[in-house]
Amino acid sequence: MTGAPPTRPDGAPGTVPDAAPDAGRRSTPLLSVRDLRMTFGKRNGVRAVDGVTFDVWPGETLGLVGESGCGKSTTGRMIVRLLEPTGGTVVFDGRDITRLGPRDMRPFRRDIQMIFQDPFASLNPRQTVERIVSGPTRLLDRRGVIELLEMVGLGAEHADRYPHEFSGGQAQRIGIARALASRPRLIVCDEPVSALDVSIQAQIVNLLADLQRELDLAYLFIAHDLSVVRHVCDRVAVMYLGRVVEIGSRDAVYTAPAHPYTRALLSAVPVPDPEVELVRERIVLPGDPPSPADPPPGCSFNPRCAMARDVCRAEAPPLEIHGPGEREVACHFAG
Amino acid sequence: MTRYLLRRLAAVAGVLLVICAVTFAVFYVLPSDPAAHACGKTCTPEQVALVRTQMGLDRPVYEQFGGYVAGIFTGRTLGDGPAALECSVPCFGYSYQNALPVWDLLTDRLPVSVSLALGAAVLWLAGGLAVGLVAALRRGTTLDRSLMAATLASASAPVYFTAMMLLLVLVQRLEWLPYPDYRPISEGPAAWAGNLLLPWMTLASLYAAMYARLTRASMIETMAEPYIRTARAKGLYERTVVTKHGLRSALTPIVTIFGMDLGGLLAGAVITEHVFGLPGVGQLTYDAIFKADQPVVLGVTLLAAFFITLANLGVDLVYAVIDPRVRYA
Amino acid sequence: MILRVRDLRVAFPAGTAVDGIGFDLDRGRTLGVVGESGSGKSVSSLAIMGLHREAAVSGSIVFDGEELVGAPASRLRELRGRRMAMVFQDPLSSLHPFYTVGEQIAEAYRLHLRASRRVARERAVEMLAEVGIPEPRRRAGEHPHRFSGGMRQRVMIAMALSCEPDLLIADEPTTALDVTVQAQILELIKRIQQDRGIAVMLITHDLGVVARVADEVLVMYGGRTVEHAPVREIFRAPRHPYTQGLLASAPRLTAGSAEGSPDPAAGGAAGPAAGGRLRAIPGSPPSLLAPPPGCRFHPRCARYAATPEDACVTEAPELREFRGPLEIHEIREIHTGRALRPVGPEGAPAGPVHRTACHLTGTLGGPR
Repeated sequence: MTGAPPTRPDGAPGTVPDAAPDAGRRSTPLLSVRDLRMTFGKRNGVRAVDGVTFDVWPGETLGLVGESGCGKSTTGRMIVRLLEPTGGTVVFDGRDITRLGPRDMRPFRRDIQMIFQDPFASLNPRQTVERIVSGPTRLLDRRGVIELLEMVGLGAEHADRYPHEFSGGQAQRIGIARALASRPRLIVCDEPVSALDVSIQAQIVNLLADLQRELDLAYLFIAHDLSVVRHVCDRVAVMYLGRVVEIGSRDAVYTAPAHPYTRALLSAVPVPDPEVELVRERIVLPGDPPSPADPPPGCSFNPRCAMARDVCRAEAPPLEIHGPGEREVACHFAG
Repeated sequence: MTRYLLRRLAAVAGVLLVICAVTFAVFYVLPSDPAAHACGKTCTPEQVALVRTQMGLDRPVYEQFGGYVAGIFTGRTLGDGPAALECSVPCFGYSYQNALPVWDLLTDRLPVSVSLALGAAVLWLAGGLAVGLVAALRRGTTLDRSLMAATLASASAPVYFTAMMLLLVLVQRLEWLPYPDYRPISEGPAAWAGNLLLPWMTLASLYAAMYARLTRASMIETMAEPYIRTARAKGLYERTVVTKHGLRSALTPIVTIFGMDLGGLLAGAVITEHVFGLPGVGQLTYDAIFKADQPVVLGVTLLAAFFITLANLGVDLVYAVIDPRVRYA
Repeated sequence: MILRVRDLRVAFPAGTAVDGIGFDLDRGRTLGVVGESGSGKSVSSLAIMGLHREAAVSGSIVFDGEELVGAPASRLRELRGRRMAMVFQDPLSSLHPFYTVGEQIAEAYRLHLRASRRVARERAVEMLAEVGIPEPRRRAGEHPHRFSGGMRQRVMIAMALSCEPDLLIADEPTTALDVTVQAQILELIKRIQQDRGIAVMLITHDLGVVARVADEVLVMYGGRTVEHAPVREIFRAPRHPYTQGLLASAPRLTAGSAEGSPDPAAGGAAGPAAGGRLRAIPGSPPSLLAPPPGCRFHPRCARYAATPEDACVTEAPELREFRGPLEIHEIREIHTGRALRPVGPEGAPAGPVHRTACHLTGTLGGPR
């Protein structure tokens, strides 16, 4: 990996302090999401995200996992303000950015960047890599672009090419370089490796880890692949039908999942080891994830939950601290 | 379903009203004097003034418009005294130049235009779909390329050119067909069709070419769908795969275009009717525009708008029948 | 033996997608075919079904004693849907949007078994019930867009099984589905396979899926087989550098299993952070248009990088059998079509052999 991150051409000092860990900074979260909500449609609106709360600390990776329709991508899009939240707040570095207008939002758009699932769909096919990476406001000169390309494992020879000349893994590297151009402090990664081949996934996962260490980045890592999430994340939030049902340190969630949904989810993932597969306890959940347009009353997981009692059908359990690892669980019968 | 239908019909009425207002506004804002045109060149200023009163041109525009719309449903009397003209329901105005109510003119000419449009539609659908289908299934072959070249030529030839060529070859040289002279269907279907064959072919050659290209594109796209692969994996006959699974999907965009095209043609194919001297709505339109017979032009515009909006409604209903996803939406 | 494939090649005008693969498949067994995009795994399965229209298929595909390569299209059509059936990746786009699921299931049954409309409809309802769709009679009259992703895949399976085929080919059947639904569908495929004793060819990129359902695994790379072995062997003792690389590069769900070396630098800065580096395979899968010469994996191969050998660049390695860690037996039968399986001491058939195609495996032996 090459050395220091590129400086902005305007010579302004970057917003990121030097990568040396600073114990004092860890006391406040970089990103605080409180009771975030997104309702699509006016009447009988679909509550895609229904009161989500979490923090992302500087330099850490928070995983946001769940199945399709659980609201994880919508949450990510609200944080980078591709979508306007219908409720709740997003606080970045101590400042409430939920209601900022486009002008006031601009500095924060540099601080919070996003990487998308389909690397090709998110790159303009008519622009050279140099133009894509330097961005619409020409954030970087050619030297800066090349430095960034080298940092993501590409080279100067790639700067004048067009996206279609690249493989999926390389295109995702370009997407990462573009996200880095404004020297962000937080990157929202929306399924960054799920469109890639298995052998390429590992390359990108390693790259993200290297960049995090070198640039002191924080990641919100949105993914459905629980194995990848376990590998890259410090903490994990599990979403179901627009809500966080369990959040905690990676080890707490993976080794001792407390919510029945987390348990089922983990047991459903096929493990590449036939001998483990043979003896492993498997909870096969009945039915499909319900539609956010028609959520069941009470705990939204109750129709598929083996532990469900009357109280589960009557009230939605709040997210409460449960056990070590600062783990919080939303279940009447957690444990 | 009934409620949906009612809502759509109400929308059709609304659209017609708006078109009516716009057309009305355009004509009555124009600097020419409709009364002078209506009366003719030899009229004295007094006669023109009389016609102007009869036509209501001395009243404010909104009153004229109100009177026109009301006349459609209640009929109206134009002018007063001995020169008053009775215009019965539905009154779409009065053509002073033809000395007939517009409605009578339209109903008189409509069967010709409908005969022309329907006959041509049958020909171009059959031809266009067949050519498009063959080209799609033989994609990339010489046959495909020659068919597409032919359709391109046919689509780009102007109607009057095609008409003249057909007349020259089929009537003058080969004498296979008589010179077209419209006969109503009541005089026997053979005479009717025989005399319309040439106009049908003229009109159809233009549309068939466009439909062939459309069908080809739509069919190629559909045959690449995963459900076509599923149909083949089930072991269905290729014939079944193409018709039942492929063509049915490929036809949906064509239904839309067909509705619009047919709707437009029902209110007259101006050039074709003119070239062959067919006494249809198109011919009426042509004459009315030349003679600035504004009540007729207004009536024809409304008729065209009516057919097109109705065709649109028809298309939507057909869509709901073929595509179940629309039904539940 | 329901299916015997030998030296199968599928060539498109643009290039050769499958370049000589071979395997046997018995009733009651599941063969997992693993590979990345462009490995030729789906192309092979479509070739078996006779669904390629613009490709040249050569080699041999013997289905229940009958040679399919070169067989008339009408014969292949008779077999498709009747004796061999296929389930695809995306169940929504693989179902026709305009017909009810009942109609779509009944269609093949009516055609192949000459059943009446009413009987076929009953069969469709019965099949929907069998694949676990509640209220099958009512649901048979609904269109695919009214079903969830998992339910649609159940419909596809019901459709594939309606004529009681001997071979089911499932091409990435759970890739488009959520994890919990994937578990349901895999259970369903397993149950049906056991109940009916059919042969299943399961194509996937997910090593976990293979570990869960397959008996034998065929690993494909660049249109060729690189390794073919019983499922336990593949995971316990992978011999090909590509298979080893795939297994090493996949992050694990549980701690303590074979994972990349922990990186001390990561541990310090971010506390119990990301579990070290993954052992990624460098580079990208080869292009169909210009595959590398010799062993198609050599440009990405760690073993070749360590001990390069000319043969890796000049010669395509043959699939060779392993009996014991360093013993190598040529399998000549692949091309001659003779019995593939070695016969055990008392004449009893031995289990499936472990074969791999690598010039360097013999010299270095053993896994990793």
